[in-house]
Amino acid sequence: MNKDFHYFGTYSAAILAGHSHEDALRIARSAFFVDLCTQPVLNSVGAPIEAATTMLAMEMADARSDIISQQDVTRTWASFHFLPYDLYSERKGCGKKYMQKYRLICKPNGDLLVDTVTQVKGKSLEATGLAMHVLADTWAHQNFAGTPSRVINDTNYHFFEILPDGSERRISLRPNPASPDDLIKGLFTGTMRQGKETSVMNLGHGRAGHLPDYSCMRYRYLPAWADYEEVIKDNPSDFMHAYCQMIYAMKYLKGEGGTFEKATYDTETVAPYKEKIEAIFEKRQTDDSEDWKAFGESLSGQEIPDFDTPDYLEEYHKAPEDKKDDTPMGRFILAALAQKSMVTNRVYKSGNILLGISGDYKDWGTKGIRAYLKLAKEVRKGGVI
Amino acid sequence: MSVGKRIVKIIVGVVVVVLAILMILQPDWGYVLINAVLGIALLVSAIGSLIYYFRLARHMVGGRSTLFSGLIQLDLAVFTLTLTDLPKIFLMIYLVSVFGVTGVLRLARGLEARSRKAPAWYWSFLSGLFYVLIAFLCTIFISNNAIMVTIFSVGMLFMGVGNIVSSFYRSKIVYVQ
Repeated sequence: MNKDFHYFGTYSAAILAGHSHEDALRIARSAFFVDLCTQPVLNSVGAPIEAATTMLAMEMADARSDIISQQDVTRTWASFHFLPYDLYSERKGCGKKYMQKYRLICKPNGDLLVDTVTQVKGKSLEATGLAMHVLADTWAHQNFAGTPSRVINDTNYHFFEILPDGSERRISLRPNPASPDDLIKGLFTGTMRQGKETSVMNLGHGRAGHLPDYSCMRYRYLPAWADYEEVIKDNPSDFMHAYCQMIYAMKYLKGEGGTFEKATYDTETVAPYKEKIEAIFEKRQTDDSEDWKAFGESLSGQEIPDFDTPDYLEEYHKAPEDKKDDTPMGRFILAALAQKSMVTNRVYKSGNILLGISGDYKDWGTKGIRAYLKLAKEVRKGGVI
Repeated sequence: MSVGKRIVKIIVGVVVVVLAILMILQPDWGYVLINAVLGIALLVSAIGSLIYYFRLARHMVGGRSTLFSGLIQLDLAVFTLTLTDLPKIFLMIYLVSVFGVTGVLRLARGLEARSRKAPAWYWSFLSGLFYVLIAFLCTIFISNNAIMVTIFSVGMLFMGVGNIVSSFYRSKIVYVQ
C-alpha cells in the first residue's frame, strides 16, 4: 500500500466512519506519515529518533549485521509495517532460532492488531491514523516478516500473475531500482537474491517487489516458510477487507461499539459505495491516488489537499519545547513511541529477542532510553502508570 | 552493502594482494601458501553453509541447495588441502582451473544481471572475462613456469584490488515499503 491507500484511502474511510473533513485529514496525514518518518527526518527537526517508523534505503544498506542493528531494523519494520500475527505459533521440528523468525510473519487479525487498535482508544487522531496504517499493512504485507530473513521472506521462480481474464504469466522480478514497474507489460522490480540470511535484501516483501502493494494484483507463489504450499494472493479482496476493517476500527475508536473484535468488517457502511471502491481496486495502475482523491472528495464535498511534509515538520520545529507534543507531529511521535514500545514488549515477553529487550517502566525505569521518558510522562498524565 | 561486509571485502582484498605479491617474490613456495589459504577459506565457508542449513535453511523452500553447496565446498576444501604433496605443475593447473571456473561463473552472473536489466552488470561480466583470459594465458604458458606464475599473480592482484575498490561502491537497493 502506498500514498493512494494510506492517505487518500484512509481519508475516505475516516469520512465513512463519521469523522469531519478536518479530522479525517489529520488521520490520513498521520497514516501516510508512517511511510515518511525516518531518523534523518526526525533529526532535522530535533525530534527523538527512536520514534522513526520507517527507514531510508541508505540507512538499511549501511545497517551493520550485528544483533543490535538487526534489532533496530526489525523493531521499526515489525512494529509499523509487518505486524506479527502469532507470537506463540508452533511448527514441528524447528529450532528456537528459526521459530523466532517464523513467529514474526505478518497476517491480519492477530492479537497484536487488537492491542494496536485498543491502545489508541481515547488518544489523538494522529494515533488513530498510525494504527490505521498498521492495520492496513497487515493485509497488504501478509506472509512476510519485518525482519531480514532469507528463510522466511525469500521467493523463487514459481511466481505467477493471475490476469483479469484468468490467464497467467510468469513474474520475473528485476533488481533494478531505476526502472519503474509496468503492470501492462508485467515488468516488476524486486530486491536481489542474496544468500546471506540477514541481508537487508531479504527484509519484508522485498523479494516479491511491490506486488503486495498494488491493489489490482492477483498472483500465486511459494513463500519460503510455507513448506512448498502455494499461496494465492488476491489483493482486491484483501484491500477491501482492510478498508472495511479500518472503518469498523475507526467507529470503535470514536466510541461506537464496546470492544474491538478480530475479523469484523463494516461492510454495511461500505455497501452503497462497493462498486466504486472495487473499481478503484481493480484498475490496473501503480498509483490509485487520483481515483481515491476523487472518491474522498465526493464523500466529503471538500477538496483534499496534498500532504505538505515541510509544513508538518516546520510546525513541530518552531513550537516551543513545552508545546511540541501538542503539534500534529508531536502527537504522531508519541503514538509511534507507544506502538514501538508495545510491540517490542509483547514480542520480548513471548521469549523472542529479535526486536530487542523490553522491560516494564515501573520495574526498570527507562534505563538510558531517554526518548521514552516522553512517552512515560504522557502515559502518566493519562493515569495509566 | 553493510559496514561489516565492506570491512570483510577490504580484508579479503588485502590478503589476496599480499598473496599475489608473495607469489611474484617467492615463485618457488608462494603457490603452496595460496593453496592452503584457498583450502581453509573453502572449509570455513563449507562449515558455515552446513550450520546454516541445519539451523535454518532446511525449513525453507529450496533450502536443500544450501546443503548441496556446503557439501560441494567441503569436498573441494578437503581436496584442495590434500594437494600440497603434488608436483608444482599439478597444483598450478588446479589453481588456474579454479580461476577459470570463477571467471565463467562471473560471466554467467553478469549475463543474468544484464537480462534482468540490473545496474552495473558489466562489472561482473568484464571481471569474469578477465579471469577467463588469465586462465587461458596460464594454460598457453603452462610449460614456462616463470611466465605462468607472473600471469597468475597479475590475475590475483586484479582480484584483490577489485575487492577493495568494490567495497567503496555506493549501495543501490530497492526501497520497499
